[in-house]
Amino acid sequence: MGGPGDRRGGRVIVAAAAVVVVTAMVAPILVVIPVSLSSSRFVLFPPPELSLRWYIAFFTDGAWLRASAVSVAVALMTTATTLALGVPAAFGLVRGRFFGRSLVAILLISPMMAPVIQLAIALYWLLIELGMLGTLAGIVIAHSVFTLPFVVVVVAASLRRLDRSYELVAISLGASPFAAICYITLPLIGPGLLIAGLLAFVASFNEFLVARFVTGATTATLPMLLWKGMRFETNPTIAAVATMFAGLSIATLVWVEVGRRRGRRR
Amino acid sequence: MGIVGRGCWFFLTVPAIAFLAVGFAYPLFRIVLRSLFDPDFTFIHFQTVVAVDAYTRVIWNTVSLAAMVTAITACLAFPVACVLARARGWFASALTIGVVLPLWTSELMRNFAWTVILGRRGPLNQALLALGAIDQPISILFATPAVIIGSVHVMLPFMILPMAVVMAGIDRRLLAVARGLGASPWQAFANVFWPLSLPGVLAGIVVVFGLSAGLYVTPAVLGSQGEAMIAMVIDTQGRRSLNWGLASALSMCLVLVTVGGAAVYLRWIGPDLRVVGRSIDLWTSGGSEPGGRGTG
Repeated sequence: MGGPGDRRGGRVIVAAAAVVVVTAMVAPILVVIPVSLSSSRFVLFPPPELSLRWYIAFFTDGAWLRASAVSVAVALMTTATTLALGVPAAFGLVRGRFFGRSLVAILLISPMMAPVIQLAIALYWLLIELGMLGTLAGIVIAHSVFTLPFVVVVVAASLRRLDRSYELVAISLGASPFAAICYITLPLIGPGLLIAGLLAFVASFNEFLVARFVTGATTATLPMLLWKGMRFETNPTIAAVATMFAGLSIATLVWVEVGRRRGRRR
Repeated sequence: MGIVGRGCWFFLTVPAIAFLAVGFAYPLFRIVLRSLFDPDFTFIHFQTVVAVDAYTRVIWNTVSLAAMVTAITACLAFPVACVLARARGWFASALTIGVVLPLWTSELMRNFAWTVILGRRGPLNQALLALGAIDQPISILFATPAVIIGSVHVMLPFMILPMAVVMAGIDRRLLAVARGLGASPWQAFANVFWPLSLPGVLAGIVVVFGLSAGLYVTPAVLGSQGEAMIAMVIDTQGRRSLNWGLASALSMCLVLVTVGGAAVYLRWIGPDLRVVGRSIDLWTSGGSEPGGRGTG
């Protein structure tokens, strides 16, 4: 245990401190729930009266709905792009023994280490050069640079944990290496692929700073509208949006965690 | 298995390498060029950064705030990591979800939540008033303390995860041996557990220092205009003033700060990138259990 030794008292103090810190990490995310249910025009805590008017405002406002559609589309395409690039790359990194492998590994995770503001400027210039600034395809390219490292790291980790003998048995029974990977290996690392995809989706969906540089008026993503709302016309619609997404995130995480525990018990 | 030569696997990485070469390496190279050429080779932009008070102050603000955030985050994260590394069953699941949940929610929303909490009529002021700790609402928002609180909240998962990964790998029998040989619990902690957990602590410190030096949203939402952080100035100089040379030079300074931290880290404990990799793995909560079941 962590704290000073095996004494019961020390352990309880450390555990209590941990619970307090984790509670403080989660509580702010939950504070937006009552605010979103407010009947007031202003952000008040606690709300004077409960109402759903800000949810109705969200679902009847063309700008919010369009931004949601753009965000979902961008996130889906980004996920597909990063999986298509990242999964083969992870195979290459884990299975291959070639000259310069660690260099390739460093390149593949380096976008994660650069300051995001620099990444944003870099992608802004690139998309201007390609004539794709403000286009959906441009945003997808930009977000894919941003999310590719996560997919590579997660898929590589699950490949490394995988027992390769299943695949080798399939090959020895006459399957081609390609078929063995498609029918044996990919299903076995399915949970890792799912998590990598979710991670790419969520990272793209929530991404703000790169989007601030590369989105246009018609391709504004949800974080852009949230930002505008927070800076200029704060009202509880933002809290309603925040609540819905926090709910989605929590549901996804609990689902993943439950699936993981069930998978281990099997 | 000689069916597929091990070198052939390399070709699977080619599409991703090509993509990042065009989408990342090339534009980054252009930023370096932009900071040094205008249009001829010049140090003028870096000289501006060093010579103009406003910019040196921004860099100093950024470094000192990042250092403070890193220190506070490390102190708060350590006990959480200790517990997370040992936890089992539903408690481990609940703790993991609590730690990684912030990573799955938008940074904007977390900062918005802090504007509600820290506002003059927010729950914090109400609680302090109710407790009689203060007579009238205090204004914390739009000042450095609010930025520190918000940043620590954003950074905690990045500190907890590498710490927990390393702590989970510590052989607990060593502690028992130390106790058996007569060490007090405190001595066992200070002489055995702490040194062994150091790689995780340092990895967390490097990651958090680098990330918090580059923060944009938190200082913009929770801080004051007067104490801008470097990322905000880069944004203003570039997109607003179109002074891309200076923006590039400033962003190179930010990289230097970040890389400087990483260099110190590598110097101290060597390039153990596995800690970073396994933390990301854990971040998704689908990776190896902090309890060290994964073979990494």
